[in-house]
Amino acid sequence: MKLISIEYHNYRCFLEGRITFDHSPDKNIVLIEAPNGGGKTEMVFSFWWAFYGFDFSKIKEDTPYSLNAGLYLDLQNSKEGASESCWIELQFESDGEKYFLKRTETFTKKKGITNIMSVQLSKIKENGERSLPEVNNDNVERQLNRIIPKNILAGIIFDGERMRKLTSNNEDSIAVVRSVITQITNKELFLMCKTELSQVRKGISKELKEIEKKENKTGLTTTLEGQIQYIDGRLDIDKNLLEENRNKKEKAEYMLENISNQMASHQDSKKYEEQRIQLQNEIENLQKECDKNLDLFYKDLNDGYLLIAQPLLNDIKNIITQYDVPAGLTVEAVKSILQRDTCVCGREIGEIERHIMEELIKTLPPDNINSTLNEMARLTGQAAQDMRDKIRTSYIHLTTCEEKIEKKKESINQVSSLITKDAPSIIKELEKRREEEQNKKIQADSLIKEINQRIIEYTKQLQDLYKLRDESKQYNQEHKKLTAKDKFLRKSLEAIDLIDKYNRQMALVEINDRISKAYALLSEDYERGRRVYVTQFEDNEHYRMVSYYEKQFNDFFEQNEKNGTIKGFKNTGMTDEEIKERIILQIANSNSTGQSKINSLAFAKAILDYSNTDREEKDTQLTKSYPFLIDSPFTELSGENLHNSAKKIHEFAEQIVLLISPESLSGVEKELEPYIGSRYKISKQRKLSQSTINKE
Amino acid sequence: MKNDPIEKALEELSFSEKEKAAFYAIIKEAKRKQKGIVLDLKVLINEEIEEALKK
Repeated sequence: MKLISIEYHNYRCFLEGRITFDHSPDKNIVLIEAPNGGGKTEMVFSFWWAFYGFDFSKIKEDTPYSLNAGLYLDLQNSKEGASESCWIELQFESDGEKYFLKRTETFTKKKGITNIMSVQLSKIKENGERSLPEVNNDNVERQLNRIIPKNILAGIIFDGERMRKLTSNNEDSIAVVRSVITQITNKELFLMCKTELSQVRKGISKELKEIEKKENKTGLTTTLEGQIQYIDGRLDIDKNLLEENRNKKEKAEYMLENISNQMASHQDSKKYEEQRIQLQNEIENLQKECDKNLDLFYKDLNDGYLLIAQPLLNDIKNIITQYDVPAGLTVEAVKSILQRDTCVCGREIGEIERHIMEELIKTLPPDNINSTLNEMARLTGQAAQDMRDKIRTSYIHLTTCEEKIEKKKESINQVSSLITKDAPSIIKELEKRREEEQNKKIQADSLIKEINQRIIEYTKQLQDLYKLRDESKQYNQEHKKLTAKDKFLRKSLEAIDLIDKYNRQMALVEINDRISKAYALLSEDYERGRRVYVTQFEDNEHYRMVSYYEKQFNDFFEQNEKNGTIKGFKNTGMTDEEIKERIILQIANSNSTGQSKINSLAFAKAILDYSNTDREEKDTQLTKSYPFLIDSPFTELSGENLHNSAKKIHEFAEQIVLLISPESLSGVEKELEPYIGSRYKISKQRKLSQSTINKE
Repeated sequence: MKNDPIEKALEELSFSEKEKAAFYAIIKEAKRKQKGIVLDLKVLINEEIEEALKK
């Protein structure tokens, strides 16, 4: 991100003024020279105000507003309804896009002074035109946070006073580190994934619950399998029994046929046996007819409900007696009469008749519900009567057949008794065996019918159970699939949390490495063994920047090693890095003002270097180049600290905006000169609270 | 110790190769969405999971 220009109107001490941040890679410092009290701090915080608004009571309690103090006083003394506005227009570029940001605050005299702030952000097209601005404050802030997060400002915009505070236990430095890590490790991307994955998981969880609810079958499959196994077993037994009885029946039939043949071949029984065979054939035919009638009877009984519906139909008819509608007289029938001039009887249809028939239509089916009911009751009554007739007929046929069979059986009995009457013993013996075989056949036949009925029932039960089992299996497969999906999503969400943790850990290691190098570059105390460190592990001390002496660290470490403290730390599972941090925090010491400034500069350089590191190999991480805006970095520095800082400040970022007093500049101008791209001078006006900006 | 936080996290959670591929594909598409490309990430997530779960 690079600043292009800033323009002021009625803002604080700058009534009007514009700075264009001309710079090149070799000359990347924009130098703004201003005397003490000339507006350096005001300018530093003007960037802050333009981006996110700013609480001016932090810098000047007596003028805690963005409007120029003189104009504010004038407004206080003016008439009700008078107003004044101030604004800053800031142009900058980020990731190849140019932006125009304007923040305006309007102050109105209305029972005191009221103020309204507005902001607009638009892109600047290649032809210089601006896109439609975003004016919703939340949306603007969201977009700006992607370009230059609010918390990062504390790490790249420094005033002399705040630089001293940064290394004390100050929330700003913590917020900067957290914010820069959040942006560079692209936490937003993983949060977005987390939201999306969570939503998909929520959907899957809902589907799973629905399946479980539908299934409600914890252990159902096991129960089903048990039932299937049991019925399968019963079916096998019955099938064997069926086969056994069929064999018995066949054997009995074979024996009966054999006996019948013997009797038919015997002179004494031939005649009767032939009669008996004839009668048996007739019985068999009658039995077939009987079965057929029985089927018909059962089929007619399917409509048996009509029999019990008759009382209800009678009730309906009684209720709607007021409509005496002739059977079959419908709307269509009456309409067809109305189309004629004369009735079927030859009588002319006049107005009175037509009126009566039109009134009648209203009471007829299907136009009138009572008539409809009446008609339905009539039709249903007719259907019930038809059904009754059918049942009666098939019942008569059935009973007639059965009577015939009984008669034939009686005839057989008579013939059978005649066979044995005065017959030789061999015939009597054959007849006795015949009776035995006949009984066996009847018994087997009865069992076959019984078993067949059972087999039909078992088969139906099995079909139902198989269907249930298949459905259950389908549920199980779907359930299994969804559970696997859910597992993956759960793992992915866990992974995102872990990635965030590792990103943070690795970023802190990297920032610590960079801060160490920056400190080595800038501070003369480095050679004396002074070190700076950003805490990584201690929850209460996260991201805090502390300084310590290496020798003191080594001594303290050795002492702790001897008294067993280090061993104790290791036993609790602490890593070497965690132990190192614990020791550093115990020996961290206070800084002088100059030391604090150097620490802050090292901190800023580390943050800027970390942000600007090329991270192409880490596909999900970002590289961000921020400008560095600093006010009076060299005051209170001396010796090597001063010269190192002045010589190296151009290396801090691709764009440096350096605000400096003439006195401070004179001590470092030689070091800065080669890197100055453009130069501005702020002059304090005689009239208080006004400064002008001029390009040098 | 692996230097890539994603790889390290996925290995720690025993992601299979197919699961890793699905996870990376989701991240890749999320990046496109982050850049402002309109896409339904939920549909893609479902597709990637289906693919990852294929035996």
